Amino acid sequence: MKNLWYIIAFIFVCQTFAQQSDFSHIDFSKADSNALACKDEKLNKLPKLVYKLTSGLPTEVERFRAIYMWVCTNISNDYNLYLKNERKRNKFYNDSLKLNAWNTRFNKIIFHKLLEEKKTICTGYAYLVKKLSDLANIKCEIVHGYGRTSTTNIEKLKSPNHSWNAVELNGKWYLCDPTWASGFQNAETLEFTFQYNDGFFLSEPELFAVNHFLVENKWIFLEGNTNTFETFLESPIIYGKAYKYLLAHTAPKKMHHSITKHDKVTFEFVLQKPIEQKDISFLIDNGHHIKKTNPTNTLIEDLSLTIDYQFNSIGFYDVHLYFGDDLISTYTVKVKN
Amino acid sequence: MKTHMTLTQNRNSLKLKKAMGLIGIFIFTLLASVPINAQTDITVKGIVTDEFGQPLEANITLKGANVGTFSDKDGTFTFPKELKKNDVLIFTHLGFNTIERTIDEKSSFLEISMGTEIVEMAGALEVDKPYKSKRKK
Repeated sequence: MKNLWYIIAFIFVCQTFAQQSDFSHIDFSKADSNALACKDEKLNKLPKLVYKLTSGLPTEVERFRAIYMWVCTNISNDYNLYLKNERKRNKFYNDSLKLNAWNTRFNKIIFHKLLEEKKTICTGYAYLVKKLSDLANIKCEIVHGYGRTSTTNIEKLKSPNHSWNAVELNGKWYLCDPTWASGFQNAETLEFTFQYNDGFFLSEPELFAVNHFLVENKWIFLEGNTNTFETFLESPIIYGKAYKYLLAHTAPKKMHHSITKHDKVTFEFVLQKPIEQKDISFLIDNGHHIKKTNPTNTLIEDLSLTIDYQFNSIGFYDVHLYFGDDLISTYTVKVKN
Repeated sequence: MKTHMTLTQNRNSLKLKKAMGLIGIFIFTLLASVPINAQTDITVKGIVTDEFGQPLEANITLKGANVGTFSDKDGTFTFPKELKKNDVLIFTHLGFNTIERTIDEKSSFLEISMGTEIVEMAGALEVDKPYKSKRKK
């Protein structure tokens, strides 16, 4: 009986969240140029903005694309606003009255920033994508959950730290993450740089689940994946660039590994497009030195990539996988005698 | 002869009366239709506030057309185009629920109260910094 439920859940996985390849026959260049043409538009005339963004676009997916692209390329992330919110939320964590009062106040601050300066933090991106989609009669929702990055310590988080969108197109639900698609924060200077990442538009659900965990019950069936929060916490860290190359991160399922000397760790991926063996490398950090090295074995069959690496010295290593100069994922490996 | 002429005159005057009657009905119809037309062009004014009655500078747009205006600092507005019955006005403001209002004969002064959208804000950031394990020193 239990197996039957797993099978039903699996069917849901395959059927519910779909991905960008469903629209491979559609050319998004017109939608993207609409978004570009609206560069100077302000957020005080939302219906006019939607009208201009969507005009002349025959399909729903193109209209959504123009809206999403405009948000990703015009709204910047405000790191100070983020820090301020985090500080207050942690401070008032045990005082629900003060927390509510802060949330109400912060709402005003955030909408003012968005309206006047086109700056926000991530829920602001998801909110705006939904708000504009509503005006274009596209069914779109804000989804709250956990986002896992190299600098967030999820285990210590008290509440969900990230928001993204689910959008219904042609009767299927798709996932988008406009915050992470828009650009990134420089870890030292804290400055935001626009750098659009197309991998977060109608993302591959399986890859998306490696660093996004949904918390709301209403999405449980849609999410469909059998990930528990524990397995999510144990997953490797994948970076934005992974969405440029991968359809799925198949193995290993865990971030932390403990092996004995001369053992191998095997990595398996499904690729979006073929890559060359010479472009695959590891940066291995033992805490003192960082060594660039190639995989021990590499097997590329069509879009399936399997690599393994043999660890011949004891130690504790951070293992970073690179395709060219692009950082894809990180694991830790403890090698014992 | 005289009698004949009188008869013809009488007939002519009857025709004239009929024609006048028709013209009269036509003019009456025309006049009567004017106020009906005036009723279908509705000048819409109004006031937009938040749920606490504070005035709101919202955007007001005619659905399906690129015509719109803003309510001013005291929340009042006059829509720049005369509207017809069943036209829909969309009231939008970031942070407030969008409101759609269908216009009818009674819509010459609209009082719109827009509810605040409460969105719990969070914000994990995308960074390109590689993960680094914490090690014992």
